Amino acid sequence: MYSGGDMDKVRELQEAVLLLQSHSTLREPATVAGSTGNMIARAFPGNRFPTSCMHEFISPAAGSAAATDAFIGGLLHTFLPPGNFYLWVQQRNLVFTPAFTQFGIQPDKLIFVTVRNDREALWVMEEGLKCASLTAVIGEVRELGFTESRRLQLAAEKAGVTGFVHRHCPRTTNVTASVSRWQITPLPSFTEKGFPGLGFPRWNAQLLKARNGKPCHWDLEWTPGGFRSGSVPAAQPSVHWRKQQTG
Amino acid sequence: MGKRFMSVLFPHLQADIYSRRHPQLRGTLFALAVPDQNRMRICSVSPGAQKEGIRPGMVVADARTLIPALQVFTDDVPDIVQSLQQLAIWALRFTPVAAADAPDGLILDISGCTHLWQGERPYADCIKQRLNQAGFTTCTGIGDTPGAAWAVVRFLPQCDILEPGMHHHILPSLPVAALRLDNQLAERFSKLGMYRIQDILHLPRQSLRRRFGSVPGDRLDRVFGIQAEQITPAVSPPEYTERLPCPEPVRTAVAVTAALETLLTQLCNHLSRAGKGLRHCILQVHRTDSETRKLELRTARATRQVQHLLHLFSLRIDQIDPGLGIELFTLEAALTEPLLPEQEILWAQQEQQHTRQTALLLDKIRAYLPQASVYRQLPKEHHWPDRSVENVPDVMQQPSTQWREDLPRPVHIFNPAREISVMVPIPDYPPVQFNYESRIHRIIKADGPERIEAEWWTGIIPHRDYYCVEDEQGQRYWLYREGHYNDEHTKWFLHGLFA
Repeated sequence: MYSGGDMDKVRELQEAVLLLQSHSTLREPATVAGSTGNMIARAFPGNRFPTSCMHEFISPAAGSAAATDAFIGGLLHTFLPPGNFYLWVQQRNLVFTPAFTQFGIQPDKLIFVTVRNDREALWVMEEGLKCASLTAVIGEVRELGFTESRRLQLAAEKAGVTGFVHRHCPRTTNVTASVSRWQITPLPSFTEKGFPGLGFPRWNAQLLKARNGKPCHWDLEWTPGGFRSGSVPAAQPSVHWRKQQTG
Repeated sequence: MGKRFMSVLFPHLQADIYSRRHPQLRGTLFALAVPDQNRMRICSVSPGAQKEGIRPGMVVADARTLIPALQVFTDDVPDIVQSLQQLAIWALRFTPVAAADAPDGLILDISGCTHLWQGERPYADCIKQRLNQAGFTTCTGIGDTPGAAWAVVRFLPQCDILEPGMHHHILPSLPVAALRLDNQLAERFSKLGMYRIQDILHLPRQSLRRRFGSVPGDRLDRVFGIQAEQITPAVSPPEYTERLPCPEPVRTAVAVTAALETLLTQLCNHLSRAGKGLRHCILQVHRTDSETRKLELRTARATRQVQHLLHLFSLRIDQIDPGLGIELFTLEAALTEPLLPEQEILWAQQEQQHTRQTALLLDKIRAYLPQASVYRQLPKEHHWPDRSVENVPDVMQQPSTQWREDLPRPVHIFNPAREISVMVPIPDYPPVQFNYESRIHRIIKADGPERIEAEWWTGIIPHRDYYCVEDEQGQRYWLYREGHYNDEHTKWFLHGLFA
């Protein structure tokens, strides 16, 4: 067994190795992200959600694509500083920005670029990731090879911009250089017993891969306060949501 | 320095264009005719036919008696207005202000242009030579006013350049028709024994107006420059434009970049003095084969940084096809905005810096992918979902109203909404199941309706009752019914997907 001093030394060494492995977020102070936010962050090395790197999302169906975009919105709000613009590269004009108010994002901070194919999308994403004035770049790309993902990852590390690649119905789920790979699927929402209506959005979030971290899966609910563990109904039911709808 | 104008006369305009289209006709006797009151009347004749005595306005049958071998074409007669417009655009390489002067000429404002050709005579010779090479018969005349130039080219065949101020001495001896009067008016003057301009020059204006209307007086004032004449250019000259003629035609990307840098530096210097920045600029290259190529560039915010603009252009230089060589570059600022020096200092501040960097990035994206749409969405005060947001290209524009947070709105929206077939057992209740993408979705939970009416001024569009529903897999949808439930053809649509 290690003594306390040894443990500190081991942790220091681990952090040094992680820094070399391009986990640049370790240099920054840990983000305060609420209990469930911490739960997500604990899956990653140093108990910090990695920023300045690429995250990959795979959505096998249209419904899970909507859930993925919403989940990315939740991550942006929870783990990234507000204020600057986000670049959203899309190939279909699907995203409806007013929905992002519920994820705590000012919808006019999203800049959309609609391109025609993966090649153009990758070019725009790389240019966006090189621009340090952006907070994050979200890109809809179907196929992502290792070389392209490596380029994106290097650009993200260099400029300190966080990238999210959303791969909708990819042909192969090949190895990429992204720090994490997620799959989000919608789950039925909780409602108070005996009451009609819909609850808060609820998803099954699978962290399929996490570099130097522990792959996990959670049932998560998005409430106006942020992420909440969604495996049991909330003590306070989604009155807020219903109030929103009835005015 | 006074103004100078050139009038270019095309005596055989339509015939010349016709023989350009059909080169085998060059040098032959032919005429173009159009139907006029059940007869074919000649509208334009070739130079050869003119020498044989055929004149525009003759009836084809009369012309055939003079020259039985005369070829007459009635199809595909070139349009005068359109042809002159094209010629005026071609003439932009000689002057920024060129106008069509129907029915048979052009008017060019050549003030300050001729020194590039070492004088007015070489300038006129150059234009004539270029037009002759292209197959046009032309005469040119230069004078201090458009009217004087017009009169010189038509009524003074022995002299084509009126030196500055000379029109006061020469013009009075010309016929009255040289005032650009129509035939009827000119005939009335000649009936009264007033054949030359000097005959009416000193008549009291009041009596002139009483007898002949206001036209002759106006024309006199304009010809003699008492009243300035406005000409309407074929292409209105932009506020800021830079030209760079090449001594030798260039073809390489390096040369084009060098030319661009020179032009951008000049343009940005001018803009800087005027306190303006560039939002939209157009690079035009005029090739030796008389073709022009255009490259347009828009920026997200006003800028006058040469390096940035050059970089944006350099992303697309390979799209310029130089053909056999480029002989002239023009760069014009099509849209400028005030950009004060203080703003450039303010940019140093953190937030402004970020916005500026973002704007530069968007410029780059727009320049490299001109067909990609780059936009932000801003809220608008409309309930109708399609109209509740507005796409704006500008990064600086602030929302004019608040985003609404109290209504459930889907993350993905389909535009247009997809029609679905549903099963609704109880009126004004959400459906119990619907068919979408050849699958049946059973609805477990539902919320609504939220009724949204179109604004009355947008026309009669049925209202929509929106329902948020969740199927057995947990996917949440936004459905709506168009119009009332009891209508004959009630239609249901899937409009979006919730998170």
